[in-house]
Amino acid sequence: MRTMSILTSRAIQLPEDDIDTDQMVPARFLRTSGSTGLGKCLFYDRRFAADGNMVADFLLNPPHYQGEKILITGANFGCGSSREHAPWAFKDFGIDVILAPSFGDIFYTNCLKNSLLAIVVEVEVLDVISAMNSVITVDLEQQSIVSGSLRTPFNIDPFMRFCLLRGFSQIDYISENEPSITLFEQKNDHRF
Amino acid sequence: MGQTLFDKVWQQNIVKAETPEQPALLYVSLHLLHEITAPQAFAMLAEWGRGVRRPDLTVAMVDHCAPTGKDAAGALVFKDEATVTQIATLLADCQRHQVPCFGLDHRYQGIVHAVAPELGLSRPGHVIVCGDSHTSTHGAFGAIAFGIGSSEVAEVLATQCILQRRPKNLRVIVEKHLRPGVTAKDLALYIITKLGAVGGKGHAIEYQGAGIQALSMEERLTLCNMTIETGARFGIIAADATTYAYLRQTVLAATAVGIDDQFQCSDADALWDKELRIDADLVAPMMSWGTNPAMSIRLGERLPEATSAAERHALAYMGWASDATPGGRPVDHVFIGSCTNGRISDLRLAAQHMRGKTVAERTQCLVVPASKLVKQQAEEEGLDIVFRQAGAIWGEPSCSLCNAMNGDIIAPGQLSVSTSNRNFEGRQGPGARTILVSPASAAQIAIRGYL
Repeated sequence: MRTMSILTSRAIQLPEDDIDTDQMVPARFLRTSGSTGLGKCLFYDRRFAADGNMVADFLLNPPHYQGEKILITGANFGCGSSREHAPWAFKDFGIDVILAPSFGDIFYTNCLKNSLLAIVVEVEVLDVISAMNSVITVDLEQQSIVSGSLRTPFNIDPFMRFCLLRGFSQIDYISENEPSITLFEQKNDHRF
Repeated sequence: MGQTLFDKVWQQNIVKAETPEQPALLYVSLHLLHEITAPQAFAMLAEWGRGVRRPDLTVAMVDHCAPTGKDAAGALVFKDEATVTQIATLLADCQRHQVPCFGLDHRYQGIVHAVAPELGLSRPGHVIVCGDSHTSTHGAFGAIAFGIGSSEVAEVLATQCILQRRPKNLRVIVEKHLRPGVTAKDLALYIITKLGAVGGKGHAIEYQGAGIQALSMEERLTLCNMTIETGARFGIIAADATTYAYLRQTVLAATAVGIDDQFQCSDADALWDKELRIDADLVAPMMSWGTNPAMSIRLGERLPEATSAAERHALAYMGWASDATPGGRPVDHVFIGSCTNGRISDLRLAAQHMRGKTVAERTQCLVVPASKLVKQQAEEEGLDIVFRQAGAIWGEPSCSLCNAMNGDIIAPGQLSVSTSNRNFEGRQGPGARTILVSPASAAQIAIRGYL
């Protein structure tokens, strides 16, 4: 896992609720055995018209999108399918932080597993940050979001925070429990 | 204080307990793999230089990309080279790690959430994971079953364990019984409209009550399958006589260990974080009208007045006329299948409504059994003949039009009535418009040709 602690960027806004992972990476782009280069598929059917031309008013297209690394969006972001292709696509596209009032549970875990910092921010606070439209600093060490004169704390699972700050691999953490895993297997005879 | 069923099963499968600093480490009793989310996990495994810890508790199969159609010579028609490669990659990875894999020519091939139950792999008290959000299906056996990402798939392959925070407990009490002609799919859509698309977020949902006890095992699978559409990753139903009777007629029943009846359930004094109580006899056949399953109404009901930008957008996307009545709208496609409604009981129900009738001229109807075993059983009962004689296409086991990955696709703007689980924008193809219904309603609509 890549380390991350502090990031400063302007934010791109996509103010919609219930954006599902099928929209993020349409299923037909899942016919790949890899996890790289998915940025070009991100929101494909919304970024591009049927004729392949860019949809000018879609907010993740230029001139609206200019390389911002933070995305501000609506509630239940990433509901639906478990495809990890969604966070892979965001990272590849250039998004490192997503601020939303709530996230789909599986998507949220998938984001943090990929050093894509998904942060739950109350909708009222998010509205203010959106309206300010200024440079935002997200500090994972301090667990704070600073936008102009506004400074707001955020919550994150302490384990995930630790992993992200240290670039700590969760497979290594699980493997440290090998004696307990073996003990569990000795006590529980799982077989078919 | 009492415990919920979910918390009991959780407790029984803990390798390392949860603390504020660390999530729990749970032991996985069954890990299901498919070709879309497993290849990347095997790649991570290779990167770590690790093997599969318990290939004997891991089962893979081809479902999302499996072709539905055959050519004149009887060969499966693959969508493209990428599909062929993806399937070959899964088979090779599984062979390398000695993981059983049901390829397209295997007699047990099918959709993971249909195959594991019918084989008897999904069992009470187990922890079941799969890189697929509809893994909630298997909770119908009194198991903890949930969808995970590919990174987690890799971790489970290597260690047979998964890091998890315990979710909150929500119970849905279903009193009374469903009326004749009303199905578990209608019940699921009804419950989702009551809870909303995020009402279950962060929770495990246990379904209880007379209305649940009266459901068959396959109906329970449908209900738990759709649980993810409330935002809850877990649905669970206490195992009872119905569960064990079902397990005893599965393929693995004879060799099964642990099918000693364990009637484990939530304690009467268990604490619930949230509760919903409904009367099953109030549920009517349902249909979705919008772009998530929570946007559903009774069949025949008027469309709702849009109260938000999202609802206005959904109404526009679905192309509803302004008169607000769905009835009479022509239907281009009907799809009967998926991990929600592609089991034998679903096909029997659909066939009952199509027997001796003809699919409307303007409508194309595709029926796809959820597994090879379902297909075989259906053909033994002559259901394939019923569908074919009605003018429907009888396909090979696949996820097919549920997620439109295998070449089956709905054209932009076309209206598709589907027994699958998601009516998201573009789910059945870019610009496709999806209406979710039960297999009974889908069959009736296919014959009629309009809503």
